[in-house]
Amino acid sequence: MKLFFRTLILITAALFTVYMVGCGSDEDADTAALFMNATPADGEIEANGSITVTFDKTPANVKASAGKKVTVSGQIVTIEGPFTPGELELTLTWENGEQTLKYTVLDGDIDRPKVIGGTIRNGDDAVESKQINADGRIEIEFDEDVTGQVALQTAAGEPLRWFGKVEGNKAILEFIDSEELDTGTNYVIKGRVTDADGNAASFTINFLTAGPPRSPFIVTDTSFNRLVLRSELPVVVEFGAVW
Amino acid sequence: MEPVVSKIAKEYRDKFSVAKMDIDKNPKTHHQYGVDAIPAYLVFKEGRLALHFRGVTAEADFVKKVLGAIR
Repeated sequence: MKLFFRTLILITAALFTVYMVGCGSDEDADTAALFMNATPADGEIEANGSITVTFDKTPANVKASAGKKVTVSGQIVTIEGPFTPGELELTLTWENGEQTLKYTVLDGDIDRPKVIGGTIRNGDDAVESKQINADGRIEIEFDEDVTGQVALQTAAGEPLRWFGKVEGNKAILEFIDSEELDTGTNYVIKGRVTDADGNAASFTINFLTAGPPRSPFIVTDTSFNRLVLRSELPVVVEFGAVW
Repeated sequence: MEPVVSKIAKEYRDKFSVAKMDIDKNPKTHHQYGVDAIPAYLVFKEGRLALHFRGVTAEADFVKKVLGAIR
């Protein structure tokens, strides 16, 4: 009888253990991701800053209030600015969870740098190449100090040997040698600049130099009338793809 | 044909100019002139279309056609 009870207790204990382990697994699978911490946790943030939230595991269906963009990378969730200066109450929701974060957004610069002038403006169609070549310099002026890159290229996207640099509130292209601007030719200045607050902007300036083009030349929908229909010489236009 | 056209452009620069248009980037003009196959060559004289031919052509034929159209 003693042996019977011992065996019964052992079997019961074994069954109970198996049951508990099984229940534990199901419970883990159903548990929502837990909020661990946020960086910054509270206080002040830059208008152009970001908030990083850490969970104990990857959360599902994460959304932030006020339509802020949320990026989920494993257990890390990032909410990107810009945020409107003033008090910010940001509610983060995810599957079976919610967390509200409170900050004071500092009154910082959230505007991207803008082109406000320079030697050439976008769309200029009678730029004196002779003058530009003599000066050996093209300047693009921005509304604030920036850093970045700038390059001069043909309408077909081939780079020209002009040295590009960005200093103060100007992007500058300097003639190096052998590649002067031609007459009647489309050129493109392309660049990307960033201001001191991290606001970045890309810019493109298309321009056409004055005078008859040197044959053969690239013609576009925009320059067709001037370079082909109003040309003193007859013009053969070759239509093709990707020069 | 591309190197040949460039060569012709240089040799005959006092008689006519040669322009190149990428139809993928410039849909308006090629639709306007009914260009439906490439390469296509349109010859303009005094703002008017004088000749439209297409396909790869030998250098001599190319020059003959263009000079004939602009005479």
